[in-house]
Amino acid sequence: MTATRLQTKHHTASCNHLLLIEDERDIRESVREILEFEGFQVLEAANGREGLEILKKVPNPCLILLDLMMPVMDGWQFAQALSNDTNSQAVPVILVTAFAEKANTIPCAGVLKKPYDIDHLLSHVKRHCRGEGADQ
Amino acid sequence: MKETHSVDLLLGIVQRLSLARDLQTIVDLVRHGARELTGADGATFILKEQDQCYYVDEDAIGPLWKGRRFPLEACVSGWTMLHHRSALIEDIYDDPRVPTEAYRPTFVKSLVMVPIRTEAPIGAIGTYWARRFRASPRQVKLLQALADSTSIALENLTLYSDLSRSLAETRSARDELARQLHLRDEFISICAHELKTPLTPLTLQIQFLHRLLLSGPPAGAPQEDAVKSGIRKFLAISNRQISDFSKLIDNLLDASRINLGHFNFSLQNDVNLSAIIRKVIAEYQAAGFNELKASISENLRGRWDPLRLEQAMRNLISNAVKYGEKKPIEISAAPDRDGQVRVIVKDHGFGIAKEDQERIFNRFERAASMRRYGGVGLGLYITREIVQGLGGTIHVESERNQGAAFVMRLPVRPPIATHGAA
Repeated sequence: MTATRLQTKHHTASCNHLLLIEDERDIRESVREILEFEGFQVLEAANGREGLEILKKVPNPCLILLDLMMPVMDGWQFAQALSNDTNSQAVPVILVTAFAEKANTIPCAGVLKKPYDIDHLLSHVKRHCRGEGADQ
Repeated sequence: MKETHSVDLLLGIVQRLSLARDLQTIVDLVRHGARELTGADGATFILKEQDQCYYVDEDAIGPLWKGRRFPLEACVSGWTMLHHRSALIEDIYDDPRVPTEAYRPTFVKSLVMVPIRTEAPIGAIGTYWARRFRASPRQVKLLQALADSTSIALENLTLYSDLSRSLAETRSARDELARQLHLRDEFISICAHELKTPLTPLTLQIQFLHRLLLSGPPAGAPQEDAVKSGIRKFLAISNRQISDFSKLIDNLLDASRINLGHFNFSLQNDVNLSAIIRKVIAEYQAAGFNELKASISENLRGRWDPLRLEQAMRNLISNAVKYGEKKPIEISAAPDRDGQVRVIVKDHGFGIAKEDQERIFNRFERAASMRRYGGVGLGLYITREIVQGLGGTIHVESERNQGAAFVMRLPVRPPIATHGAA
């Protein structure tokens, strides 16, 4: 994926924090625990609007993990808002959804289909945040 | 009238009768046709209505009895129907079958009356002359042939409307079936999504623990104590997910029981509703939802099914938490009029539009968009079944963006006829 590599290069390899936008608290907590264990810093948002608020303060996370079906502001609306945000529009987005077929309406760096496994999660995160396995 | 002409005329009428799809067309063909066939000064179309003769319509040089009803025994059309044969009357003032009072205002001096469907008459065709006239046997035969064709046309009409009705019923049943199938397919898809949701953290947690066991913590991972506390946390989340999973499956099973009519209640005396509500609130508080404000009267007791009531309360509160946009939720329970108790669960979320307020209690229905809110749409459906099963009522009071208040009223003792009560 050329686009992905370009976006990865755009972010420095030292970038350590990523944004997780997910309304299910238990999924958020599990993902955060796993990623913190691996040495990442996770910024959590329960919906798209909270995600945009976080981006105002931290505009350049190495990656956004984006759930689609959420209250207040869903994944589609968030992706739309992100594409108009000049500070953060280059941040790669991994969509996380049980309905993978609905994901193709949003331009993204990858899709994680629920229920996803830890290896997929880590390989996406490491690729975008540490440049690991970018040529796989 | 020439013989060939009258036969052609009759054939034309018969052909048009065979195409008639409504009563008025038949009536029109018969009243004009009867007059033309016989050269009479007037013709009437009569239908039998229980024990009366109904003069549906006429075509005559002067007014006859259109729209009037006479007892079968008191008119010539009635006589033909009762006796299954035609009446040929040369002088109406010289025949005991004729109610002369009814004829006196009219032009009629002579008549021929034939029954429609001789075997079991459903009506009659009358033809009238303003002069003394004796119809020929041939004229009577032509008229009877017209009456027989009319009978077939009327039967066709009944068959046709039965058929149309049954086609329409079939069509609407088919549409309803298609709607139900669509609803079910949608439901299966939502179910799959909802079942996958708790699977995601479960999968992650189990795989994480597995990884930890196989290769130990990654370089730079927290210290051992932190690892242990992380594991404890994971197991707690797993437990919660498994319990959500099992609640979802319980809901699906309950929906199926309701559908099959096997939704049962185990009524017990002296069930303490106050305690049940407090228990459910405490569960939510323990899970971190602190914005629950309760005002519960002491000792709200009655003859209920405690597990079902707990289920209903849990559904209402979880609904409020889900749609309440993290604003405070107020729960009140107090004695109400007529030996009832009233429970209100009020959130301050975006509310429910008037047009959705009844629908949300139906199976698989939801007011909120699937994009934004998960859930299979069974909680309120099951809650209403429980409340109604206990003889109570539930409704929602809401305005757009003003939150929603679910108001449940329960009799302290359900009526004997509580459905499915064990």
